[in-house]
Amino acid sequence: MKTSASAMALKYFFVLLASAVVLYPLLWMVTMAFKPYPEWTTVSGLTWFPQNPTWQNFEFIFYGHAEGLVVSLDRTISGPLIASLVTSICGTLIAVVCGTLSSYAVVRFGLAQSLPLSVLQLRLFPPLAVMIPVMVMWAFIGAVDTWWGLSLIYGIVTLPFAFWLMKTFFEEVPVEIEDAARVAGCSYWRVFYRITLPIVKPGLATCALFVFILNWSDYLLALLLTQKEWVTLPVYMATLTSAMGGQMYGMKAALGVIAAIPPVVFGLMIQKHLVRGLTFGALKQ
Amino acid sequence: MSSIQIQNVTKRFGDFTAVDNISIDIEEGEFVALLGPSGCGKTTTMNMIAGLEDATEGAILFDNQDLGHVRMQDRNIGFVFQNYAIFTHLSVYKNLSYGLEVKKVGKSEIERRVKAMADRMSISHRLDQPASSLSVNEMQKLAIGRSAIVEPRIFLLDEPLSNLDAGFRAYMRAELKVLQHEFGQTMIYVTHDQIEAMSLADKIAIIDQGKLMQYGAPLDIYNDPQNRFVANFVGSPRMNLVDGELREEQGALRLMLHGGAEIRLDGQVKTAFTSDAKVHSGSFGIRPQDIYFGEKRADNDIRMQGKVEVLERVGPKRLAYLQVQETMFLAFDDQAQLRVGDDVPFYLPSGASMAFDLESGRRLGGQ
Ligand SMILES: Nc1ncnc2c1ncn2[C@@H]1O[C@H](COP(=O)(O)OP(=O)(O)O)[C@@H](O)[C@H]1O
Ligand SMILES: [Mg+2]
Repeated sequence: MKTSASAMALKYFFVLLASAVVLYPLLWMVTMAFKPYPEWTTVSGLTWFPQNPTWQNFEFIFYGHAEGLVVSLDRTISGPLIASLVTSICGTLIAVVCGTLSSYAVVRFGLAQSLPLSVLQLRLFPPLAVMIPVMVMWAFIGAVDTWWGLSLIYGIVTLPFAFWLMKTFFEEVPVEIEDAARVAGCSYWRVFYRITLPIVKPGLATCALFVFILNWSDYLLALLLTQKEWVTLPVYMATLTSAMGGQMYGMKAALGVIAAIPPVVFGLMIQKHLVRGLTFGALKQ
Repeated sequence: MSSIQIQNVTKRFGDFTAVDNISIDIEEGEFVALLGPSGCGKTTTMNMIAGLEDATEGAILFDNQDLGHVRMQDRNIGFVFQNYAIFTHLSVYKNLSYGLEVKKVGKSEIERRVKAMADRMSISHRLDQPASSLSVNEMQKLAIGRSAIVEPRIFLLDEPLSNLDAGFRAYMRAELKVLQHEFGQTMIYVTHDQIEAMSLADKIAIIDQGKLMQYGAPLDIYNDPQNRFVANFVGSPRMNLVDGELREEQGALRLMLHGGAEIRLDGQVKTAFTSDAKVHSGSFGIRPQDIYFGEKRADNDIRMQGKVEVLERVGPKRLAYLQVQETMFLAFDDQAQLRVGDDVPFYLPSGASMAFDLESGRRLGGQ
């Protein structure tokens, strides 16, 4: 199709506009992370880029104090960083493994036909609506402020998402490909992990990334189910206030930059799959 | 190599009966075609033979042994699927070696057999490439090679040629015939193309709406269809089949066609129509090549008069569309004597004509 120059210009204008809206806060976060204290506290002279770039903010959240700052932190980023990584990864594993196995059973074996809808019901109301009973339960089984307690709730809350996503991917796999492997003599289990899983690998990677991002960015569940030991990054970020300095925006920005690294790295790692999507060249209808 | 006995097999999906009480006996080394229109239950039948689906009723035996309890991996079946079902995430080599690896064949043996099969299918130059990069024609060859390499006791092919272009299809048809001789395998071949079935198979099973309509050698089916469906389905161009009411007046039996014309029945076909007194509406069948023009050749041949509407070239001959009132007859203009618009007499030889009961579709007075 041939497009006129003005249409192209219009298209690029909107692309740029959308990018600007999305990227503006990101840019602000990154630049602020490198501004020294006076530059992010000043009211009069806010600048786009740091005048005197510094590692001060990063130093502060990693060591609890920094040169040139009078305030200090009783808690550095290392604990919350580990807590976030552990609980997000474990929660993602739970959701992806359970979601993959159960959706495969539903799609391929026609089992539990009511499962898709009942799983969806888990997402029909905000998790907060059931958080009080969950908190009671978690307290009862001693899961509050533990890595497994938080991982478990992450797994449960993101399971519907993983289930539905994997379900659509499995539905795309032609049953004949599995039949071909079965005729060759493979057991059901072998067909699943040697044929089906490799075929849906791009879908699996995409699913894992999205679930990980959901877990990684959670604030509410961690706020309610952790107290001290397993406080995660988002909750920790909210505590970055001091009586003297008020909101510590520079530190928060530095924390934001660090928190953005895992999802971005993960995303880059599976970029090939994300872009490719699912194509099944064998199926010629 | 095995013989196969399909005994009163029925398959239901919920309330829907996909395969309805089918029985077919297939001898060792035979090439049998399952022929029928799309959706008639051919693939379902194949899946049951392969053991991918269980029959709701009836049994399928290999060499008179029930395979009900035999595990898939011990059945040793080659299955070429309708859509090829190539493992696109693997290389061509891995596709070919897959069945052998599952069967734990030795490494050097696998390599030898993969090479030989790739040569046989002329895809050797593609062995290291991903299977997803193959063309449709190559995928077809790979699908056949992948199934043949394990030397299965029976070989099932589900519409293997239906996605190919005409040229390659003719080539593959010949190739399959050669392959079958090489393997000497019992083969079941599904197709909706009657020419394919006719030219390849030792025997043809014609299926319609899950029911077996006829099972026999191609020529027997062609010459002696047991019902209206088979008569209509087999043969190219199709048999003329005209429907009407039977009327008897002063000893003369006539078929009053729904289009307004009539056929004065005589000879064998008259006997056939009268063989069952309960039949009141019938279908008269005659193949285009049996109709003739000019002089009447036998006493009880039936004379008709029709207008030449269209003349169509079919190979060296011309096919004439003859309009008799609202009814159209197809006939070969064997002596190149007709012109469009002519009103000509033509004859339906009684001995070559067939009689069917219109209600049940059953052949009347068949041999
Ligand atoms: N798993 C299934 N569930 C329900 N209906 C099915 C299933 N498989 C096939 N059918 C139905 O059975 C009929 C026969 O299908 P099939 O054997 O694939 O026909 P074909 O002769 O074209 O190969 C079709 O009407 C199809 O819709
Ligand atoms: Mg089919």
